[in-house]
Amino acid sequence: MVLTLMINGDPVPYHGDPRRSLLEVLRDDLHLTGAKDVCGEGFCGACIVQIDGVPKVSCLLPVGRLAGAEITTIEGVSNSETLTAVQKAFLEYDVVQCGMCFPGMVLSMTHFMAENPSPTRAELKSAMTGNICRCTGYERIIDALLSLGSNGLGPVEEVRP
Amino acid sequence: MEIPQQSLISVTRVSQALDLLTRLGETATVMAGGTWVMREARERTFISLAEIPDLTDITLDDQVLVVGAMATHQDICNAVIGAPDLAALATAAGKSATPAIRRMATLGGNLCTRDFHSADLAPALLALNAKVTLETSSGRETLSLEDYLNTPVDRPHILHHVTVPRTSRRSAHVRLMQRQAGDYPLAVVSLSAAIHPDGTLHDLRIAVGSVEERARRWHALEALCDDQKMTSDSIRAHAAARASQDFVGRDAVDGQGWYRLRVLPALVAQAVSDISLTAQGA
Ligand SMILES: Cc1cc2nc3c(=O)[nH]c(=O)nc-3n(C[C@H](O)[C@H](O)[C@H](O)COP(=O)(O)OP(=O)(O)OC[C@H]3O[C@@H](n4cnc5c(N)ncnc54)[C@H](O)[C@@H]3O)c2cc1C
Ligand code: FES
Ligand code: FES
Repeated sequence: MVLTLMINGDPVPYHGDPRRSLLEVLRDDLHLTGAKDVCGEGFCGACIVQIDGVPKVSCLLPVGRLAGAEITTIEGVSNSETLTAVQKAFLEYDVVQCGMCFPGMVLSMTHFMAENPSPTRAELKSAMTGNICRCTGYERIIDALLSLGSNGLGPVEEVRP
Repeated sequence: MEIPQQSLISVTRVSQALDLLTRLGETATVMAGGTWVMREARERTFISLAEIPDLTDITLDDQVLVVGAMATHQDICNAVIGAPDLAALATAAGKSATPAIRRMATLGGNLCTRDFHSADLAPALLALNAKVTLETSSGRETLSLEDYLNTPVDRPHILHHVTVPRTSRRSAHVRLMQRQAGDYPLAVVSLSAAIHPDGTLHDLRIAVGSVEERARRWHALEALCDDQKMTSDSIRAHAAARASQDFVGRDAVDGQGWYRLRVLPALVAQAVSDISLTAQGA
């Protein structure tokens, strides 16, 4: 099957088996290795990307269904000069350890914070179900997100400190 | 119709899907949300239902809820949240799996995946007395969800939609997991009843999921407790007396069969407590 994928704003031609997962195509063909290949089963969230702005697990998305969709990976949320508010908060609160979960965590929680600018701790915990972090114990991730306060996501990008 | 030599075929009409299923047989599978087939059936030809109009429709009025087979768990939760009679369905759809999976996995996938034993929507819809409407090559058929789950429909079919009658009753869905969230449930109890102010339960329906290979109604317990005054303690005692006579617990990596049976009475008690609280306006 031949189709065009729209990845981080750029059209990318794809020629191959439409049942391959978006995760395989991102990592193996396009060398966009931000989305991590961990469980391959939908449980861990390390492979989460946004499809038309909505977080989904790329390991269970066949590329053949994605023609015309806007795909945003962690490589597309900011550039080397800038960070989003969520990324900045994660950096300030020093919450990233091994980093395997973080691309998915950023894409999930950015969407959640945009829809729920003043969440409670409990709401953040349930929103984080499906983004497994084996290192941090979650509490600091939650503190970082709560620090965004009523400003929510604020300006989309801020200059790297 | 020519069969395209492709491994993922998007159809725009149910009849095309049926035609392809009939011709390709075991080499093809329907793809709805893809969360099961991408894990379990990658070698087959995918017949994608995503481009069929209307299959994602949900309509809710005072009489009936109708949910198209391609509605996702999240779509269903958004549509029914706050309706006391449909609380079991709102919990099943809103608490199962993870947020990302709830945006992908569909009603049809949940009810039609016969090798998936921990479906949440199945027991919730059994407790709500749902009917399923199937499309087959000989036309449209409507049958109870209970019959659909008990008796495999071996002919090629597409589950088109599910219909839930609305009544002035309460319902609840209780799931037990190893962790608080994100895993498959070890055992699920969905329950619905009309509650008299003195605590009598009328027209009681109890469904159990994840304990055996397929969700099913717990008719023996219903018969013991229907039209009786029930507290969570009294129904727990009845459930404890019946559980091992009525179910054979499923051994799997996430839990042993005996354990699934052992927890059932507590889940039934919790479900009765939940509907009693909502009836009191809590
Ligand atoms: C990490 C994870 C956790 C999960 N946790 C839970 C949970 O706790 N509770 C829960 O209930 N579910 C849970 N699920 C969802 C469940 O496991 C299945 O993945 C899901 O129900 C399948 O839905 P789907 O739309 O993705 O189906 P698909 O993968 O697209 O299809 C699955 C099967 O259903 C058949 N099918 C689908 N739609 C139709 C139709 N309309 N007519 C005829 N046949 C059809 C297909 O032929 C196929 O064989 C979880 C899934 C994942 C990945
Ligand atoms: S790799 Fe996709 S959810 Fe774990
Ligand atoms: S930082 Fe290691 S998994 Fe989250």
